Amino acid sequence: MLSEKTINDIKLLATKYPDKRSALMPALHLAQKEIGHLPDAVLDDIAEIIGVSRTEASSVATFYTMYTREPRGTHTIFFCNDLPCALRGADEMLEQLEHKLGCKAGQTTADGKITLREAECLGGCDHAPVALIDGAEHQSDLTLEKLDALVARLINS
Amino acid sequence: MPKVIVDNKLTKVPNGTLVVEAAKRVGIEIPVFCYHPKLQPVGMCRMCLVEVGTPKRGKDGQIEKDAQGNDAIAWMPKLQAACTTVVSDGMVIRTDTNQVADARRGILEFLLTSHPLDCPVCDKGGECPLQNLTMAFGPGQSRFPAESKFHNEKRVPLGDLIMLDRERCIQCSRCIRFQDEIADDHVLGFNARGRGLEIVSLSNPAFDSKYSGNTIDICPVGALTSRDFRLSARVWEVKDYPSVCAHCSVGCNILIGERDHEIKRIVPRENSAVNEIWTCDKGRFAHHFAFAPDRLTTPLIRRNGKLEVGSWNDALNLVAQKFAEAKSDVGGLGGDRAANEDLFLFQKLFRETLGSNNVGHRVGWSASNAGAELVRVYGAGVGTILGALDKSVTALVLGADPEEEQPVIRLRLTRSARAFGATIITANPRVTKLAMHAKQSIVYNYGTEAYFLLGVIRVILDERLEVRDFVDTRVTNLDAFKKSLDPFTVERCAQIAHVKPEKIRDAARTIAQSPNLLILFGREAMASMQNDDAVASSIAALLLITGHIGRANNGVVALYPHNNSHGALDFDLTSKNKSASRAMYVMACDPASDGDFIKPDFLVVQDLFLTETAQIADVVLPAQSFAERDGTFTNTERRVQLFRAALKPVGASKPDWWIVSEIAKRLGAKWNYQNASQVMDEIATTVPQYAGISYTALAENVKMPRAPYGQGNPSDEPTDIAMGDLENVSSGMQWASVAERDGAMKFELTWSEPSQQSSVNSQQYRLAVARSLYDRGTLISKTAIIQPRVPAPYIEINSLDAEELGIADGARVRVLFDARVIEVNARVDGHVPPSVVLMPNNLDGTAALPMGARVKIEKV
Repeated sequence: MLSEKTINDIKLLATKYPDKRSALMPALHLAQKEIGHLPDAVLDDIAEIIGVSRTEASSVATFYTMYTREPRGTHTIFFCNDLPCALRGADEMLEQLEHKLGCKAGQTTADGKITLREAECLGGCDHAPVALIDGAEHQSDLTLEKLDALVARLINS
Repeated sequence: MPKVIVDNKLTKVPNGTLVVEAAKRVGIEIPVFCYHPKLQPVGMCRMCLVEVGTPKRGKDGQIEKDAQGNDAIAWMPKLQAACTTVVSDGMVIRTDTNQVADARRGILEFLLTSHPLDCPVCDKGGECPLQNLTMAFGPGQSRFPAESKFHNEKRVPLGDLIMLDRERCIQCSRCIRFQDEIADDHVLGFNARGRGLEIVSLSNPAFDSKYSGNTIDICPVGALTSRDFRLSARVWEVKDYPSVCAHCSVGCNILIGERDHEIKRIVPRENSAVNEIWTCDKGRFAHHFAFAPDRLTTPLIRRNGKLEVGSWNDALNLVAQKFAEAKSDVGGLGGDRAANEDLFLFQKLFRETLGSNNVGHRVGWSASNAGAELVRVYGAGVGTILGALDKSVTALVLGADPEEEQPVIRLRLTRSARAFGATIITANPRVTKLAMHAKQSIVYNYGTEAYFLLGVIRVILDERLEVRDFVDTRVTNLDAFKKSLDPFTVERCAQIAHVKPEKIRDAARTIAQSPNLLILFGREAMASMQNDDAVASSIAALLLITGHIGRANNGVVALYPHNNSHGALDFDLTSKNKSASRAMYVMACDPASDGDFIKPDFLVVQDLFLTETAQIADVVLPAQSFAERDGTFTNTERRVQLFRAALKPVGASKPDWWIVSEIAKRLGAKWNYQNASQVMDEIATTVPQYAGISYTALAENVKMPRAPYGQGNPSDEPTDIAMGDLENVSSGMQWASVAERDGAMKFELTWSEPSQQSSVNSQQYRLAVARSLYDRGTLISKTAIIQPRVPAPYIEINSLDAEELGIADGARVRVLFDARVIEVNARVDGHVPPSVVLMPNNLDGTAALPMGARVKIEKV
């Protein structure tokens, strides 16, 4: 499943930490970047390279929300609906977003482009409502118009 | 030592003591769930919150005084977890305040929001910390409505042996930490987080660990239950009898849980010198043989070619008559599963009553007595605790695979290395699990252990690392020994053993510089070749030149295969001449299943089952299992341990010692043993090592475990987090070796030339025979639940050889012996060196494999 390059990168990672388990998180990131998610076979490969059990690899991969064991769309929107965002209309916006994408939170659009997920606090309460795009890009002070533009951009990218 | 006050009670504890352990010292039990004295503290459950204060210091650094003139206390603003807080001098701890009671109520109310109240149908009910602590400290009722309770999967099989109930789990992680820290099988983990958090095992097979049953004991709720014991009895109906495990030679202390004359379960009984609070899954689950339906219940006598039911009197009279007729042409084979009392009387019957010295054992080693003699003289000093060897101790584990043969010893050695800094050196003809924790792991060429040892000795002598004072005053014959050693240079030994000379030098230096040295040798060191004497004399020489004898943490431990191998050797059941043509008495062993047995004119077999040997016998005598009678076993560390009857005898079966003595009486002996205790009294007066041992003495220090069961006594281990010198639970009596008894005795270095290593022809492989913990043995076969754990037969091949043969991992291969062909799957996983192949004995179709044989391998 993993390319030779990624396998070599993970092997190199495994030599860089005094406790081999520490290499697990960056290795999982590398693998997910390549495959898009972390299926069983990939976890097994990583566990073997790093020298931990598959149970340990699975523990880490399922604990952190930025890893996904299931396939996701090309883009992922984490939409915050904690209290400050909710007070600024996040619930209505999420509903709009679901309507626009044609899928519920936790699902992926039919064309496989976008996965929508609810998120706990993303750390931007002073600019609520907040969403996190592809694990890297913060969208804040969201309005319905901004959301429309965002979805259009992601669909066309 | 810091002084601390717990609930107004003052105590002194060692530096680094945890608050929870300090409180135990003044008799205060702080409630815990995730904390366990044998595991590292994690502070996950918050059940142990207490008020903690330290002396208040002014700007000048002086302790301030309050209005009454006492030390003023600065209380920490919040409650602290007693399991992670380390005491400091002057610390004041309060466990009996409203604030603490409130916190406990809160934690319990919270835990119960997701814990079902199915105690009436839960196995743990009656010995459940959650139940007990809820009764003691919990709120009478919850503020949360019943319908808001969180539900989760019930009855999730976690492997063949353990059942997981997800909604009972309180996520304390004791089981995960046990597997990581103690068992070293990283097969349990948490998946996901929050309410979704769950215990999973993704190993194949699931929960792949030989120690999994221990997680049932330490689980503080009913989340992990035994699939064997589950729903078969309530714990308060089960009566616990202290006993000793009857499988391997570790001699784990156990409790037999009896109800309705059946063993319902076996749980470990704490003994910090033997098994701490652990036991392996074989010991825990493989007890069904004791009340198996096919147990022999009456004596059988062959009439007209068929075995027919007979009376004890007829059977015993016939045996006595035939033995008398056979005169000196009579032989005995005593199994090393029988108790000391049985084996002692067995050999006495032959030596005194029948006047025959032809009495042998079935220890499964080569018949040489070299190993037993080594232990008698240089046995590890009394007080050696394999689970608590500290950094002053080096343990050389030679030719042994304790993970498969003495699992709890592997567990304890690993613990010593990881937690307390002991140095482990493994030397084996293959890679074993213990090697993962060894500072050095040496893989020598098959059958060259003596050369490896001579190499080590040579380095020590060449580099003048021997302990001069000791050698000068206590050791004789050094010059002659050196002269014999002359041709054995390190390079030559290294070449023969296929080990880099530098590795031998490193090992030798580590051994020579270590303040304490233990040598543990196993079956593969003594049974692989005809080199027993050379190995034994080399081990003795290594101990003598480094002065490592006669005190605790020094000397040798023989890792024997069975529960009473030591006893069998102590009573000198070591005749090499095992076959007699006229009459033979076989007790507690099954030589016919190993193939090389020739039936004499008259054969008596005494066993629990109608074994292969019993099927061809003329008289079969039904013996009692360890659970039905009293007796003692001597474990592999020379510890004599008492076990007591827990069950009613099956049918008309009798204890082995009784049967032997009835035969002797009919042959005119004036024996009058009423019970096993009287036999031990005689052993104590006739066998020098056993002097001073009696049932009364052995029974005195048998302790029952702390309630609720499985929670462990206060820790007494030399950890970084010192737990102090708390109660050390130990029972049994270890006999002292010769070197211990006489502190001025001189020892002679003896030389025994190792035999030439015969070479293997091309396309031939040397067969290493391993033992698997779970095999097709008679006793284990009676426990259905463990059968899926018995491995399919396989052969391990080195990757270079496999490549040459064109064999891939998992491929089907044919193994060709001189007169036998076995077809098995190949494993290519780097555990054996080139030109050696390994097969476990006694799996399907692999009984009686010849150790060290030369075999050919063919692809199917």
